[in-house]
Amino acid sequence: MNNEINISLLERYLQGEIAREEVLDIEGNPVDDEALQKSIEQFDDIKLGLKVIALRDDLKQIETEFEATQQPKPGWVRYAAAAAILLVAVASYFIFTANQAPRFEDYFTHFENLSISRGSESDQLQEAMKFYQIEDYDKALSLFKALPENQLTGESHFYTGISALATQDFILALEQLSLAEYQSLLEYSQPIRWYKALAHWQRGELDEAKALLAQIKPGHYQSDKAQTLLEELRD
Amino acid sequence: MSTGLDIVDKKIIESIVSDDADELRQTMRHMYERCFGATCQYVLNNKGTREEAQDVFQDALIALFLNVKKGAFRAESSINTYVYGISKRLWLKNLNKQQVLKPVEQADAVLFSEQIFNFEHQLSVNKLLLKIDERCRSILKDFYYEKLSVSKLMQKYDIASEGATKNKKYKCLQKLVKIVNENNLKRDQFNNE
Repeated sequence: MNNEINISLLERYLQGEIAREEVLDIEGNPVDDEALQKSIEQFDDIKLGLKVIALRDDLKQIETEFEATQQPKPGWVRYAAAAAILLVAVASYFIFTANQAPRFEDYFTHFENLSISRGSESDQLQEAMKFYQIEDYDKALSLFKALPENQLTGESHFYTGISALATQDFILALEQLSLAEYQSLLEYSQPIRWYKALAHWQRGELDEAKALLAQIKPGHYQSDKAQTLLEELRD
Repeated sequence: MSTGLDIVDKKIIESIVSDDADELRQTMRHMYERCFGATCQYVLNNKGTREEAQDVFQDALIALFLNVKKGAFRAESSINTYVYGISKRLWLKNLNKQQVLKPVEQADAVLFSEQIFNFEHQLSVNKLLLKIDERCRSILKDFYYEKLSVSKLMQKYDIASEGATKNKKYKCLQKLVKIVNENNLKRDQFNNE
């Protein structure tokens, strides 16, 4: 950037506050088009650079938070999880020797609402949640689908996704759970993984289902069932 | 924008374009949940450590950010594939520097080399931006990234008036311009290798 250009005037020009002719150098002289163009490009680079520096700081913080969620559980949790897996494995043996193919209804379970009416939701959302809670998924889904754009949240996508899954609209379930994953993150990340795995499984997308199930670690939401289903799908 | 992007990919792109710092942070948290595992596994399988995978992944996210901002992002693959490809390219480049790379791996990496051009150019700009004092950098970051208003900047930095705050901001910006000019930074000074 021409270091003689008046940066204050350049920024005002870029914001549409002043005309091209009013962009001057620091001594009050006009600047030619070439110098102006070069100044604009370099000014953009500088602004972007500032954003990158700030973003890098944010990423360090996000990485620290993310790594904290990846830490192994305390020893007793691991033992408890291992014991639970063993129990499920034994139980599964008896269940699955009787029923050869795994069935969706053996794996899908209702997810209890984590944030039952905080009073801040719209009437429409509360109404949809009311039907969701009594497991009337068809009614709940039609109400979720009717929510206006400005009332869509990570949670609304999540419960829409589960209702869609329960009513066997697996494409909608995957779409909504992906949106929930994008918006609500850590609080719902484990159940989202589980329910997405179920949706992929039901769509016959076994590689995707198995990849998600493999990410469900002992102690995570539905980890026992995930382990059992994974073994079933590998066979 | 078409092909390889699903509805979440589109949201990610929108959030980068939006210039909203909170939305961007949310997107980046999502990216860690969604994509870090694959990059980490790749680096671990290729003579690296988890810490090195973290560095590579951060750089890949910055590259994604820059390419979207500069309109250089081509929506030919999903964001997952894109970030993984960039991470791979960056890691292979690092191995190449250490001369531990097999030729077959180098050929595979050419695919994403174009996409890290903006990243490498910006790294050079950023080294210069780090030369201004911390207070100035912080004011400018708050203004351009966090989008704080002049009155909020005035309160945060305990400056006497809005006029003085604007003046301070412009002085900081002018310092940056001077540093960039003194270093005669030109785009053609950068190349992919």
